[in-house]
Amino acid sequence: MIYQALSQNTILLNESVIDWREAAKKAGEPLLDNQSIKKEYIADMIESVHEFGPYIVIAPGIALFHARPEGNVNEICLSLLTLEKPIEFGAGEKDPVDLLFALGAVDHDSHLQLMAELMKILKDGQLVERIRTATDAKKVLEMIKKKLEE
Amino acid sequence: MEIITVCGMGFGTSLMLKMTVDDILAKEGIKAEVSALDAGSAKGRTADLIMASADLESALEGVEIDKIYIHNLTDDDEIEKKLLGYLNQNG
Repeated sequence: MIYQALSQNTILLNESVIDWREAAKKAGEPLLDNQSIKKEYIADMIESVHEFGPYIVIAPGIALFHARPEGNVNEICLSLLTLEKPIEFGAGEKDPVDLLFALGAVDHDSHLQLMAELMKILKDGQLVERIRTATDAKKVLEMIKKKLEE
Repeated sequence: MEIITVCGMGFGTSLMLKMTVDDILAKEGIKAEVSALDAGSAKGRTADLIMASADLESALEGVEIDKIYIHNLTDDDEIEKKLLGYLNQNG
C-alpha cells in the first residue's frame, strides 16, 4: 500500500524551506502534480496546524501533515520530504523537524493499512535515520520495500 | 472497557495510536473497545479512557474522562508503560 502511494515522484530529499508552512506546500506539491489532491487540501493541511497546534509532529523530528478530506482528496496518497536544514513547529522537545510526510485520506479508515505500514517504518529508528540522510529516492523506496517485506 | 484515541481530525494520529493500543491490549489479553475519534466528537462521548497526543491537552480541556497523554506516538514503550500503569491502578 505505502509502496504504491510513494514513488520517486512523491519522495523529495534534502530540500530547503524557510518554515513549516513552506514545508507543507513543498510536501503537497507532488500530490497536486499527480492529481491526488486539489490545491485547497494544502491550505487545509496548514490550517489544521493552526487549529490544533503542532500535534502533527508525531515523534521527535517527524511530522505528518494531513487534513480533513472535504472532497479535496481524489485518492489515498502520501509524500515524503526530508530537509537539508530542520525547521521548528513550536513542538517543544520534538523540534526541530527534518522528516515530513503529507497524507491524503478519502475517509475515516480506508488508509488504515497505509498507516500501519508507515508506523512500522517509523518505529525502526535505524531505518528512519537512513531515510533522513538519503539522497536517492530510489534507494529510499528500496529500503521501505525491504522493511515491509520483513 | 472503552478507550477512545483522539486526534484533531480523527483519522491520522488517533488511528496510529489505536493500532498500537490494540496490539498492547491483545498482547496482554485485555478486552477493550478502542475507537479513533476527532477532538470535537470526543467531547460528546462517554468512555473509560482517552488517549491522545500531549499537544492536544488544551483541546481536550473540560472533558470529564480519564486521559493519558503520549509524547512520542511512535514509541511503543512509552504508550505501553502509560497504558498498563493506568490499567493497574484503575483496572
